[in-house]
Amino acid sequence: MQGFVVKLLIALALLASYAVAPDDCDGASVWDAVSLGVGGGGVWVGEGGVPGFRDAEAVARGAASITPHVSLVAGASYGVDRSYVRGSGGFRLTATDVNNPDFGIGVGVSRHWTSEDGSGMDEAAAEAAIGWKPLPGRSFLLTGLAAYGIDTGRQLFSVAVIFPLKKASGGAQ
Amino acid sequence: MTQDQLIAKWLPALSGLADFFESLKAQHPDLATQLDPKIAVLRATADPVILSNAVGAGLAELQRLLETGTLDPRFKPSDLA
Repeated sequence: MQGFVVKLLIALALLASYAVAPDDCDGASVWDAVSLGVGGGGVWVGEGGVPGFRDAEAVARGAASITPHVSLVAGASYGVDRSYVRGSGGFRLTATDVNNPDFGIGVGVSRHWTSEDGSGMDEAAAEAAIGWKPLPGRSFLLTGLAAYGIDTGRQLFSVAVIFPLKKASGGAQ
Repeated sequence: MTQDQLIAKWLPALSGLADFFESLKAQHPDLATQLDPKIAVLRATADPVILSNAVGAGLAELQRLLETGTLDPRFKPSDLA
């Protein structure tokens, strides 16, 4: 886990170095690349078979879109009933139109951790994520995530309603 | 982990998310109108060629990022999932 955090910090430091690079005057800043959101949802966890509902959660999510297809993503969730905290951080590749701000599907790998065994996973996981804005004129998103533990095969599914606090502002919008 | 191994991990994740939405739809049939198109896109995206193209595009963009040091962000809703 410590190794992963160190790698993440190095990646963020590299991002920051790009922001101050002399030849970067025409590019977006790191802050332009950042998306932030908060919301609420539910999580289902299982190992084979049908995953069972675990808890309702308050969630906070963030991402840094460093290229049109590649983002660094991170999130934290608090179990409303069970009072656990779980989180994840990793990278994501967008497999659909990167210029569509209303819908997207991404795949990636994240390192997950949880304060309560059974309410998440404590390993790296392959992920598929979907996000869409169902109502034009409203900013909230509906999101879904499937994470499959690379070591154990544990499955985690989550759905959430997310209110973007900040959207990435580079590229075509 | 090679690109093929990574794609082999993503395929069940995409299909699993589609299956999960199917089970939600079975419990809440009123959501079918919203969920059906998303389920269809998830199943269509669970394709090695599409994922391989996304990996290729991502690697090319990272190479450009390393060469130019210029960020090129987009807002992608799936990043906040």
